[in-house]
Amino acid sequence: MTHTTCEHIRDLLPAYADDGLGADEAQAVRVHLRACAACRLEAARWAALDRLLTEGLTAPEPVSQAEVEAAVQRVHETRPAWQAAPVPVRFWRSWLPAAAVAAAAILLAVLGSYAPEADVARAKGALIDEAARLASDPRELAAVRPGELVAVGTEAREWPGRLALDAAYQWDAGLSLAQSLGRRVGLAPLAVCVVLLLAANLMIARRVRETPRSLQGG
Amino acid sequence: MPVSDERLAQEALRGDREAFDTLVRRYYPRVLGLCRKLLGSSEAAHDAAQEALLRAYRKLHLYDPSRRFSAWIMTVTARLCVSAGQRAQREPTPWEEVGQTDGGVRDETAGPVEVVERAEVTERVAQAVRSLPDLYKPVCVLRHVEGLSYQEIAEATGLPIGTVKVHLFRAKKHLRGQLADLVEAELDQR
Repeated sequence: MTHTTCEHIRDLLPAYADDGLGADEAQAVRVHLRACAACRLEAARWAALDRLLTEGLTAPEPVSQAEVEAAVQRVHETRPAWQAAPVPVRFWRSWLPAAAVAAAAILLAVLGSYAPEADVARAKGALIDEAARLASDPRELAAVRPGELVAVGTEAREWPGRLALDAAYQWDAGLSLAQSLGRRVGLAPLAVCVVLLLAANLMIARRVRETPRSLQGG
Repeated sequence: MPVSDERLAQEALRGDREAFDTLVRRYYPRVLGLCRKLLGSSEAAHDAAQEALLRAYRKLHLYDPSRRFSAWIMTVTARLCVSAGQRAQREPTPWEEVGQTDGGVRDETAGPVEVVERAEVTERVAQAVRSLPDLYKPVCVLRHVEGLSYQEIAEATGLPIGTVKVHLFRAKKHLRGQLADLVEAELDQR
């Protein structure tokens, strides 16, 4: 064995002991160790160091059950209320419902401008019903007129209701814009908007359901 | 069959306080043990262990349930200990203090002399790890406490695998120098 080869192999030995080499390098080390007693001894030293580290760092700590319970209690006392924790919503779920509502509102503003007034009223009613179904207090919402959606939406204490009403407000604003334009066409474009809005509402409601209850509202 | 750590973490994330309490019960001894080894002082270790559990709670939404929870919480703990050690900038704890507070390693199958010898070895190893540059401590802990592969350490820490290899190589060179006599004694025993 040449000195250069041994030096190269010895640089690989710490990772070899960790099983951290690629297949080719590991094979080269194995072949070398079969023929080189000095490097075998060196490899044994690295293996011994690994054993010492693992045994030394994982030695059990004598912790009594009372200490563990005290730790649980301290964590309870020290941590802020659960509602202070971050809301665990994945990125795509956080923007997708909002984007869907915005898209539906824009579509509504464009297409809804052709809707007959009677259809507009029917669509409003359907949306309010859906908002009420999603909200926590359907009786309160059932009494709300379309024009009051904003006020109630901001006052709603529960997230599902507030989010549903926010979505409903998008719809309401779109319809107002449509009416102000004074155009009239069939119900089909509105039906598309209804489907989009309801899908957005359902996604919001699912997001709220997946949020810890203690993190919602108030 | 006990509920897995990963499942408990997900339930805690959904607002189940009991699930997080169970995780605290499971991990407090290991978290405290690691804090003691990395910080030395028993008081600092208790503070760090509690802070580590709180930090784990606050950052729970960042935990990826497809990976091992134990590796994640030990990474959180090791990083916190590094920060705590930097803040404290204190002298290494004398062995006498550790002996009083840690009580050594309890092993009912070992005799008193063996227990003391093992406790001394454990403390020497802990001192050597404490003397590592801070940069290398987390990877060293994940390798030797959690037994993670280089690839798993890279995933847990977010470091490139080449960096993990370099950190571990340098850490082991340092530790080998600190523990040369114990390494030879370990070889002689075999």
